[in-house]
Parts: sequence; C-alpha cells; structure tokens
Amino acid sequence: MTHAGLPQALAAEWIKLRSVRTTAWTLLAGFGLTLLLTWLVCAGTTTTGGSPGHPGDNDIVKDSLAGVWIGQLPFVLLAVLALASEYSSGTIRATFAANPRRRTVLLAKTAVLGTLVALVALPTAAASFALGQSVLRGNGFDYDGGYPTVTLADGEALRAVSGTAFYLTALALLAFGLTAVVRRTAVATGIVLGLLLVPPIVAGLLPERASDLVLSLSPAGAGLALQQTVERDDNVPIAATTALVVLAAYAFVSLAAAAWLIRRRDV
Amino acid sequence: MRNEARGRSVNGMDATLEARGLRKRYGSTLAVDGLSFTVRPGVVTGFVGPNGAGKSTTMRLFLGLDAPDAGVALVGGRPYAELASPLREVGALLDAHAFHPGRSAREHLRWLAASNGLSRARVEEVLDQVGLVRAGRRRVAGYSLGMAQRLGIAAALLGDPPILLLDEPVNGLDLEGIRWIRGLLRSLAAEGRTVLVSSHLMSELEDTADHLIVIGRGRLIADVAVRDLLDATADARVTLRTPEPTRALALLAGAGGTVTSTDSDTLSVAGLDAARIADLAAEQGLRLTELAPQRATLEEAYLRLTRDAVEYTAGGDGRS
Repeated sequence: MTHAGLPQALAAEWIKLRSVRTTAWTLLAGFGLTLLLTWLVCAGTTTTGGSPGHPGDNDIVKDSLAGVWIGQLPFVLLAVLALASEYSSGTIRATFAANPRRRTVLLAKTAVLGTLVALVALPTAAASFALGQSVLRGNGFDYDGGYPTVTLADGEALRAVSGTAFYLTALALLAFGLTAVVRRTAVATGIVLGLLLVPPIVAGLLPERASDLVLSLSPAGAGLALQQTVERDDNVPIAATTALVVLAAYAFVSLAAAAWLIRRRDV
Repeated sequence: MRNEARGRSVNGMDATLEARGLRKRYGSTLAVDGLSFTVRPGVVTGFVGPNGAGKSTTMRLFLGLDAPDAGVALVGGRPYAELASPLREVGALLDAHAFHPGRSAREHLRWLAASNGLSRARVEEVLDQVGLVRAGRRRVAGYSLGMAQRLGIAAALLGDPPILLLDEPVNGLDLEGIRWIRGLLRSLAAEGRTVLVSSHLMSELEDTADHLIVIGRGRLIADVAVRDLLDATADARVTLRTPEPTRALALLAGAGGTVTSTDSDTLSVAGLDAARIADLAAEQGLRLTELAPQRATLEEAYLRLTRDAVEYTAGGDGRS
C-alpha cells in the first residue's frame, strides 16, 4: 500500500501551488516588475563619457539587474502566501491530517516552492540583463563610449545573472521559513521587508567600517554583491562566494527554525 | 445486518477510537479534562456537548493536530502520527470552509488524494457521492456553507477509511442535506465503520446516533446507548383520553395511580404503565379514545443529563 511519503507530499504540494491563481500572478508580477524597473533605471542612466579602451566606471551589468529590487517583492509574497493562506483558511489541518510527518511536508513545500521560484527567477534575471544591455547601448554605453558589448558568455555577467536568481530564490525561502514561524501574511511580509530595507538605512548612519559590515551581512547587500562586476567606491565589500554563503545562511536559519517549531506546535 | 457488520476491521486494523485520560489546556482554559472513552465500529456514535465543551479539541487530539498535555488519543490502537497512510485509516471533517478559497473543490481533493497516493478516479467518485460533480470545478470561495460541508465530507471519504470523525457535519445543511447526511452516516456505520459525529444540538442526532458520548467542560458526562438513555430518562407518565374522565380518575386512583386531569377529557397518569391501564379499562368497560405513553425525546434526556454540567459562555473562546 502506498503510504504518505515524500514523493506523495511533493505531488500534493505541487498541485496546491499550481491550483491557485496567486502563484501565476505573483510570478508574472515578479517578472514584469523586474523588467519594468530595469527599463526605468537603464533609460535614466547616461554615460559619463569614455572612449574605446578607456571605459567609464558604470557597472552596466549591475544596472541591468536593478529591477529585482522591486521585482523581488512578488516572489516574497508568493512564498509567504503559499503557507500563510493555509493557516488563515485552516487548510493546514487537512495538510497535517493527511500527512502527520510534518517535517516531510515542510521539506516538500520548501522543495516545490524553491524549485518554482528558481525556475522563474533565472529567466527573469536573464531577461532583465538582456533588456538592460539593449537600453544602455542606446544611451551611449557602447564600444565607442568605452563599454564593449557584454553577453552572458562573459563569466562575470553570467555570475551576476545567476547570482541574482540565487538571491531571489534564497529570499523566497527565507520568507517561507519565516512564515512557518509566524504563520501570518502581514507579520511575515513585514519582517522580510524590514530585513530588506532597514540595514541599508542603518548602514547609512554608521561610520564606514560598521556600515560595510551591516551592509555585507544584510540580504540586500549580499544580493548587490552578487551583481557587482566593476570596482567602485559604493560597492558592497564582500566577494561573491561570501555573499552566496550569507544568503544561504539566511534561508537555512529561517527554515531550520521552521523545522524545529513545526513539530512542537499545535495547529 | 447491522450486527453482522459490527466489528469489521478494514485494512486489518482495529477500527476503534480510544481516548485515555486526555487533558488539554489552552492558556487559562482547560479544554479537555481527563477524558476517557472508546468509540466502537458498526454504530453511529454521537459526540455531544454544549459549545465549548471540548468536542473539537478532542477531535484535534485524535488527529494529532494538537498534542495532549496528558493522556493518549488512539486511532485503531495507535497514535495518529504512526499511521502510514492516514486518509485510508481515518477520514475527518473539521471546520467547514477550511479550504483555500481560490482553489476548486476538485483540486482540493486532488492534492489530498496525491498526498496519500490515492487515484484521481477516487476524487471523481467522492465528488459524485456528495453531489458536487458539476460544482467541483468552481472555486470554493463561491460555495455555500452546505456545499462546503459536502466538500469536507467528500474529503473525509476520500481514502475509504474505516474510521470517520465528523465535527458538526450537519451545520449549514438544508433539510434535504440533513436527510442525506443522516442516511450516509447510518450506511457508513452499517458497513462496519466507526463513525463519531459531534454536535452541540442533540436534536440533530435524533434518529441517527445509536450511542452517545456526552461531554461538558471537557469531562465525560455520559457514555451510553441511546436506547438506554431514553429508557432511563423516559417520563413514566401515560396520557389518556376518555369520554368518562371522572369514572376513569376514580378507577385509576383506586388502582394506585397518581392521576391529574389536564383537560376536560384528558388525564395524565403516573405510577401505572399503559398496558396496566388498558387492562383495567377493559375489565371495567371504560371507553378510552386515546392511550399514549409519554416518551422523552432525546433532547429532553440530554438536557436532563447536562443540566448540571452546562457551561455556556456567550462569545466563547473560539476553541470549542
């Protein structure tokens, strides 16, 4: 007899996620808002003047990925709603009655959500990059202006694009784990927004070394670090690999807290 | 028929529900306080008590959703968490409308089915059984309470389980729906399943439940067969109508009855049963136009039982 195991839980969670409109709408919004903001940022970026062989210091790769700073919000919302809606509607009881092995259920939910977000985040970042490059080229960021054409064949650009997709996925998992802890849409969304917005503000008020530290250890700072391809004064001073670790740590800690609590609490 | 089916075990498991010394506190509210009872297969067991008595809490404890502070809740002799394929062993209806409003009934049942490796064909079967085949593709947000109840019952039946736990399944159903669910409950029990149905209204279970577990303030008040309860609390009065009330009064009083006249031609008699009254009347040639033993309704019996244990707090604390 088939039992309620991980494969069954994965199948169930996938049906759940694809059978509500929220999923398609948030993913579409994440893609659309990212492209929209990237277009706005790049259209408003003008070259400070360079020449062939003497590039300016604009980071055109980073600029072409700027849209995720708004586009990330629907991804966060998807992650929060995927679980908070179960608590608000009471579906969570059916979920845990159907499979009382709650960590298996949590793992299945995490895997399905993470995979879906990653699969949409990657083309989102790639499309943002392509759109941004094309708009920037039209603004004088071309070979004659000191900016040779960059494509995804360029290692740094590929790292920035895939790093951005990683950032979006890690952020979604962070939001998901937090939701398992706090269970409410508004609370979870508020905490994630706080984690994204407060460190840059605090960093702005601190002396440089403390400011660098706060920024480097914040989710948004780590995300920015993954997008940097040019040495600039306003860069977040950590390597891309460190940034990956920081982001993974946020997601891990949040999911670990969820896994620890989920077996101990009533539903 | 019913007796033959009694004690059937499905999937080789013993299909009882057993609470042993269950205790559960939420904050300052002691929701369940040392509750012990066993629910057996083959009959419909009513789980009755006023709002806030601890019925829903007990059901959540059986389903492993909430952890008891003391005691154990066993399904088929095991804690719920040990069930390999829970939907095949226990079907549960908890709160009506506990569905994602944006999901259709069919998709709700499909994810449930997938979670226990049940087939899609089974989803269509239960949709048909509860009469939601056509509404099945609509989003649950547009469902009436009655339709939501039907969906909840479909979910409970999905795994064809030997044990069913239904919390207030009659709530929100129209007359036709109530009739339907009573028939369903009886047939499920006749198939040898264990059926525990909660209600805060005893009248809902009249003619449906064979056995009652009555609780109040989280404690067991009665664990009794409906027949025994009715017999024990039946008002031992007999009402009779006769064109000769004065003669009847004298006759019955002389035979040891306590007789009160309730109307010009109606007497109410205590201390003599209907058969004895009929015999006396026949011997004396007294004409009776009506002779009726007064049966207590289940509701009356229940009210008598819970009179002292009722705890009704307006508003409640939401966890009944």
